[in-house]
Amino acid sequence: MDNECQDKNNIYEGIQKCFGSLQVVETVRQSKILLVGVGGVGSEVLKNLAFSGFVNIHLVDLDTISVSNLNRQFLFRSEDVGKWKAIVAKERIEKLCPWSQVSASVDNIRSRKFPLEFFKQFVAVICALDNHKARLYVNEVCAFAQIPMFETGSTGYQGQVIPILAGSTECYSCEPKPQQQNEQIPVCTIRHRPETVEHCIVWAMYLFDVLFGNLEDSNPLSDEKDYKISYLASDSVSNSETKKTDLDEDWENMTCKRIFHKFFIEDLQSIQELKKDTFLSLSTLKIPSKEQLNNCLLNVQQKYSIEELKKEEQNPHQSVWTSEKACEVFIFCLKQLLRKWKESQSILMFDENDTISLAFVTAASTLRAEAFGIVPKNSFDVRGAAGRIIPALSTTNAVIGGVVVFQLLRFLSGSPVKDLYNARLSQVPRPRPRHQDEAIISPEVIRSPVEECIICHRLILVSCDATKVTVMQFIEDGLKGQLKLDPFSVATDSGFIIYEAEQDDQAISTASSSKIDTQTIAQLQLEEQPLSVLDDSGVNYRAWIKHQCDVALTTELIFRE
Amino acid sequence: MANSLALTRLQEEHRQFRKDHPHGFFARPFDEDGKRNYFKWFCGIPGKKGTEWEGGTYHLILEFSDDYPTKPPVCKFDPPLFHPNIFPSGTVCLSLLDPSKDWKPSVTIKSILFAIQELLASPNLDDPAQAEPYKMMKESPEEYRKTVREMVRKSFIRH
Repeated sequence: MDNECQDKNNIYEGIQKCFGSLQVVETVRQSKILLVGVGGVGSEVLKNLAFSGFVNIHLVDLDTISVSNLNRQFLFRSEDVGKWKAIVAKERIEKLCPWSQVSASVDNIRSRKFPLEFFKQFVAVICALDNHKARLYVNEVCAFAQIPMFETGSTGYQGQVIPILAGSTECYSCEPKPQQQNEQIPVCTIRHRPETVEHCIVWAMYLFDVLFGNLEDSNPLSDEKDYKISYLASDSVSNSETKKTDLDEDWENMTCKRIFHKFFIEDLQSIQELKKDTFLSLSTLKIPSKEQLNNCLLNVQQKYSIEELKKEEQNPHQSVWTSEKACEVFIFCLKQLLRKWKESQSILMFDENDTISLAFVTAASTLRAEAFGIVPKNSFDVRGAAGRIIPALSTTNAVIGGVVVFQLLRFLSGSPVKDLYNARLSQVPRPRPRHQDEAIISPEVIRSPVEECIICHRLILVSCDATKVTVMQFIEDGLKGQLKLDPFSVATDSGFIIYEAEQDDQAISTASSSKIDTQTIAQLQLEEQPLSVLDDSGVNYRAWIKHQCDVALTTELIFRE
Repeated sequence: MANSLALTRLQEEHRQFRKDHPHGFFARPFDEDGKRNYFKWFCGIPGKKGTEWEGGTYHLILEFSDDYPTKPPVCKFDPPLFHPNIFPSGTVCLSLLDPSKDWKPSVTIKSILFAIQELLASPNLDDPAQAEPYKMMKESPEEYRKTVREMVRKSFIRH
């Protein structure tokens, strides 16, 4: 116990020395911090927060721990696989730092369970998310709540920390982000519920690595190592004394059968079983039959050739493979790869320019897509999609986790957000401003909000009792009366139209217009989520209806110069 | 769906179209049991004067994704039309609606509808999507026109 107090005091002493004031220590001790995402960067951030002396930390994460997380998300152990990240992280860090009081929510940060008041209790939000949508959302909520957000990101050797205070500094929405093709796909999406053909392609590439490649821990299928070809081969050798050296055709057929059965029949069946109750749409998986598999095994050798597949992959207009063809090509390629492996006796690397590897991935992704009712891609398009997969590096995460907490400390020591720096970590050193040297972490001056940014300039904050105020009152008294706007339409982010100005050309649907006359905001569940408002003059606003019991309707614009 | 870019663009498209739209055309968010959503639109294209399509207004459903306007909407005639570049499902095959060809984020809904109106009148025989009209158009354009005119008269013009 004494040691513990010693540790804690050392920490506060360190901060005091670093920032030269006792005030900072007090601030750190009392500040409540929200950490969204406890994955790669999030684990680092949480550890740094706790060891910097922060006491009140709230975690939000919706994901479970998978084997592939363990190499870099050091708070988790193999016995934690399958448990909630937020819960395990909380337990571990409280044990490590007994002074910390961590609370955890297993939920999507975009859930309406987190109203604006929830965000307002924090001094700052650290965003350690893996996707663009959730970041945009947190950016927006923080703007409505007017609290600073520290945005972090890490891809391969690159990373960034961006402190944001909407209305005062450039926010996450200021620059439209390029279409993110490289977004990391959550493991559960890859393994259990692919939504797009890209998810199926990524899965197929991982499958290639499981069977033939260098099985890295970051592979979401890494717990299937029993299906490594080298393992299957040694398994069969030890089982049948007679064929010690020769892996003949029987072995090929048996192995193909085993692999196909495991990944395209058994696994899909178990997903179906697993998700039967939760995902209705998944109850109709198209799972190949054993007969189909047996037929394929018999007649693939005559039907396909490498030359033919090569010709196909060069044709962008090639039609997508049917599941029968995909099944046959899969077996054909698997056999080819088994032979290649047998000859070289070493691991094979996926190469999108190798016809057999590409056809293997195309066939596997087609079968998977078909099973989940997703439209597959042809081998030409699969090559394009397969060319980019970015590793997650723990060193990058550690650097980013360190920089962001240091920036947070600077903010708490009194620097306004706009006087902090954006930090960029790059693989190649870049010149540092005001220095003659180069560094891999380079600070960038924080820019002002972009003129056109809606989040920075045109937010409408509405407070009212959502159970009493009707949607029409919000429009008429709030937007029109109090703000003098002339709204053309108001919609939720899912596209649902709440209100639309009278149409002259076509009779407006009476059903929807009468609904908003009488229904309250709460009845239509419109409170505590962002709304998109377009004024008749063509100006866009974002609005947020904050529910407060027994409060009269007030509508205000924030950050308007 | 959280990226508001698609949504704000669709709202603005709606406003623009309402303010100024070509005669005979309509485009508005689709109404499903009194609930309307910006990501699905119901549109009408009048057949061009002086062509075999004259006299009818053809109904079209536009479906937008989160990636709009980076990606174009899927445009589907409902009911499907007898035309070489319209798939039997009703989906329109047009290079303007192909992100790897002529689609640009700046293309408005109005220009999509204009382009489809134009496509009705002048099919593109290099890119067939429906076998029967394609064959007929190729082998005997007169018969194709007659067939279309007959269909238009039967199903779209009420006397």
